[in-house]
Amino acid sequence: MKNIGIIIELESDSGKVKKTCFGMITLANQKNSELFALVVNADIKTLKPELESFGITNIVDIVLEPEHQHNPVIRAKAMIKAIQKFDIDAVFGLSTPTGKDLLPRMAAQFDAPLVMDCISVDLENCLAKTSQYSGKAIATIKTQGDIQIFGIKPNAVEPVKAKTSARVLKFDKPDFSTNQFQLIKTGKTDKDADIDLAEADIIIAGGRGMKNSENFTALFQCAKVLNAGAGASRVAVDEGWVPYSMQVGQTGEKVNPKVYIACGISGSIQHFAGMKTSQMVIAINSDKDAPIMSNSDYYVVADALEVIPEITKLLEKTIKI
Amino acid sequence: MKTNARAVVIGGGVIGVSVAYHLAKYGWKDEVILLEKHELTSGSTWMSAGNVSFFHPSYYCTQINIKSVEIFKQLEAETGQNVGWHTTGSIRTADNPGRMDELGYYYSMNRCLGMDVSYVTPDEIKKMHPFIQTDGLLGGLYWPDDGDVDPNSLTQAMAKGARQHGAEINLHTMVSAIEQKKSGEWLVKTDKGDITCECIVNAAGLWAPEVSKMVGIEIPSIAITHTHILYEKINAIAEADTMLPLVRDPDKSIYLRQEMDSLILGMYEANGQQWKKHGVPWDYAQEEINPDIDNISDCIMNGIERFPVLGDTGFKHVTAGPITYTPNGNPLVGPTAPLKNFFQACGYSFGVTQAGGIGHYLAGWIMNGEPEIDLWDVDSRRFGSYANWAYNTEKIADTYAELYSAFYPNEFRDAARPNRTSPIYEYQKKANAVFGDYYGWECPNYFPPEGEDGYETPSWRRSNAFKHVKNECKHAMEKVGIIDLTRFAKTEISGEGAFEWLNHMTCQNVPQKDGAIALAPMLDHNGNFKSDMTITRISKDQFFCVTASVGKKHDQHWLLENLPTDGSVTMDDLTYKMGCLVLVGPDSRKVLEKSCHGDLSNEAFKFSTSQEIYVGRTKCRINRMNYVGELGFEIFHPIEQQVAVYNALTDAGKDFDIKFIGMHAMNSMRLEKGYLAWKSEMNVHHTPLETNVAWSVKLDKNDFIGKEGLIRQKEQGIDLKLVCLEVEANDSDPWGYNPIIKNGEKIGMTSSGGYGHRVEKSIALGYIKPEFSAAGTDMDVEILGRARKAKVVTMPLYDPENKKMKS
Repeated sequence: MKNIGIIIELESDSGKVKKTCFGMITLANQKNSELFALVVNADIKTLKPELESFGITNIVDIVLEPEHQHNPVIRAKAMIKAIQKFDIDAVFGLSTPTGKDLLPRMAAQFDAPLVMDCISVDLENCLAKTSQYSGKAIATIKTQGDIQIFGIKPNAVEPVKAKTSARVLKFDKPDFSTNQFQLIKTGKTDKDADIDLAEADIIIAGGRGMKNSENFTALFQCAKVLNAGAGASRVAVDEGWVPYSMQVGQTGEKVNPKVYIACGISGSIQHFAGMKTSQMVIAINSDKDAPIMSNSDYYVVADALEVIPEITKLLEKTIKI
Repeated sequence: MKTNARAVVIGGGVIGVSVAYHLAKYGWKDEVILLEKHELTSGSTWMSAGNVSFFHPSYYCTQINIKSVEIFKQLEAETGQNVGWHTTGSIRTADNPGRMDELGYYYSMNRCLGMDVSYVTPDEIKKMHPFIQTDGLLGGLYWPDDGDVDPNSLTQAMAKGARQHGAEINLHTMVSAIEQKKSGEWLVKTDKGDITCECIVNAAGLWAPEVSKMVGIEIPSIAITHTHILYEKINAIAEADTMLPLVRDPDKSIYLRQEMDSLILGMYEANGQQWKKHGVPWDYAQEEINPDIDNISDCIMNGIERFPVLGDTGFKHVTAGPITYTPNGNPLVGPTAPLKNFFQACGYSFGVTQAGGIGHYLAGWIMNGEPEIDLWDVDSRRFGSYANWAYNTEKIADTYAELYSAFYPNEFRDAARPNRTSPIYEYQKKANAVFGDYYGWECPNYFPPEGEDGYETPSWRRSNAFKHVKNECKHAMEKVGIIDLTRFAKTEISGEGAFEWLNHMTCQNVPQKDGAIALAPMLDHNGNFKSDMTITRISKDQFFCVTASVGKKHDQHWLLENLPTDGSVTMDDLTYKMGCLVLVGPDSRKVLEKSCHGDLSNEAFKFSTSQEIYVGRTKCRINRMNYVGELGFEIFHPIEQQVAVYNALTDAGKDFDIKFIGMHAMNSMRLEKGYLAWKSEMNVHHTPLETNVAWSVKLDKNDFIGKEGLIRQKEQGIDLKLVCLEVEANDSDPWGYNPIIKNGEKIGMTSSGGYGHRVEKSIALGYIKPEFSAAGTDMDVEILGRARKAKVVTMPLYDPENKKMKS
């Protein structure tokens, strides 16, 4: 029996479990494995049923001083302590900005093998698969070591329900301190859309066809109704219509949603480099010859500016019913 | 897909799309077809950093860049699609005096073109770019109008423009074979059907060598991995209102530009990696190569040293992808020898920068038959057959690593040498020759005494070779020397129609007497210089033609393109069958007399005539002619007999202190004589009427190529006139592309220059407005950014009456 530690990330505003964590749990839930969810400063009561429904049998409730919660050094120290205490053999975390900071620190401490951007992990044979070259190639990596650490690519695996019941393990509040890092302040970023592109299930993105900054308001409304992340092509951010942080593509974010809706985006190969792993692509473009069309699952030949508000209207109706 | 077209452009990168766009726009409309095997930009355009600068070491390439910017700026208005242009300005830095000299050369050359460029101090650089650490910098040049463009938007905009003008762009269409029909038309076979067309443009980038192979041509272009790094967001940049200028620090082999709210660092690492040595696979498309961070770590550290903020910023994305490279880093453009109507537009390492301009100029070249500006610097024919696959592999690794090394006019790098050598190469080595490479030939530049100056220090100023060159010039003036010009391009033209046809090819009268020699320039259809040729009449239907060695492919291609198809004229390339040793100096007749059988007196063997004479045991063709202005003899001989000829001459020359003379001395002496050099004075911007060889133009003879242009010019008068200037320079001589200034106004530009050791003067040849061409007129010549006093002198400076040549 292997003890598997799963580092659970929480939504910063709602405190809920990030949805991408459930796919990671499904990935970790393999033969002969006992799943430990490692959570920091969480509302365990609300989390517990959700985690149980995907197969978590142990919840390690780590409580840190609020000012330490986002301190990477202290978080890493706490995780390391927890792993040692519960005799964990393999650690799963997300390949997110948080995970990319946390997992290497832990690996260094344990001198453990670390594989980031995994799309699957075979715990029995210690094999991890990672996506390479903008998703064009898959590398299979064999790991060796007492503790093994895997960074999982968000949305790589569909979550599968596996109802169990979990016990909550209190983790004695450790007395950590560091002078390496000090949290000065936290605040909201310049992102107009609330959903993180890297983790979004649905993304609606606008390009040259959006024509100006004002037209993006309609796209944001649609994103809200769809519960989608809002993205943009390089042209749209270069024109200053939307912030740089919304850029999807070779020099922007690499996204991996279930559905990608490209509005007025011609589909340059630079743009594809950022979204080609999307599971479904829907294109809305007035040019039927645009490369995005031949690379989409569904397309609409129409002016995105006319179509977007229609989608919003339809969805609002549907939701009301 | 259409089955007929005038032009088929192969390749949908930024270059191919631009060529198709311009061909369609300038009138070929719906008779233009572009074929792309994948999507537009999927070869190497996609990974371009998008920098667009006016800067280029070459005067003519700089004009291509200027044209690009002009085109990029008007594309949006024309096509309705913006290209993501930002004007940011750019800075090129220098951290050593040699580099400052190099920048001085660019500064002056740019001023010939009327460009906005200025020197900047380290403090001024710091003001323009707050992130730079200026320690060690001496200064730089600043171009305010440079900028960057989005390579994808640019390509799409030109594609849109091409379609608007009628061109057909076929994506996912793969060329499988190219055949030439009997009619001369081309048949392009693709997986979507065949197309018959008049001309083909090979803009296939990474695959251009493969496309060339389809027509039996090997071109010197290979793929190299180029890497640039996009950093994470930098808040100070995100909050700034203005964009940072592009900075190129060539001494650190890096460039840095703003991209969105961050920076891109690009580099030319020392150990550049060739990608896919045996050809790029056909199915490659827009795939990032795994970056070799170790290999570029020096450049990354250099970047941090120059821009400390990079040390505190993470990588957002490292882009590594293949780009093409040629042996000297310039692209391959224009006609392909020996084919007709097959054009190259490939080998681009800075494709985006030049795309607009080259589309414009190449389209003009294809449609009008002649380029609007001299494009020799990018002409695919500048490389001979020596520039094969193995040569490229060795040479390009060096070219890429040294891309940001300072450019010096007297530097000949060692990579991929030697290639072609004269049979007396070992004798030259024994005489301490310091070699240069010219069109693959090892040719001695100068001969220092043993143990001295065996390497010429690269410099824009007078180098350590100066005193040795002086000795060689004096030796040629006072005694006798041997110059090895085996590398001359030699062509025999024969047949019953040869005389008439040659008369059509040159503005000069083809000699009517056997053994006569004529300086016979070939001109283009406008009357401008095409080629520098000397014709020797061997018999009434046999002519021996000599042209510049580096122009061999170009000149022979021109002859071949115009060769009658009825078989009345035959062309035979003798370049590699015949060597040439030139005896020069007052004692040269005595040496020849000692080694020859026959009468060599001035009466029996007149100046500007040719005879077949035995030198020792070897039958030679001797032309009483030379390029240095002394009594002299060009001795052409079977190449396998060269050592025998050489021994005969040196044995005979022992008593006369015979010595080797190198290329540097020859160039110095030809300047003193006002002899023109191909592509310096003789290029597509000038006719013979503007020069001191106007006498070679015979307008009263039958039609010849260029006649109409010359008649027109004769009627309208010339705009420019070639003059010789004596320059008050004492450390750096003019070299060419120096502005000539009178009363603060630019009145012309030098075409070449150097130091004349026999007359002991710094000399420039140049074209200026005719009203200033009277001898004695004062003016300034700007050298490395500084004005030097100069005055027009009567040409030639040395032996104006030609007494020595005719003695």
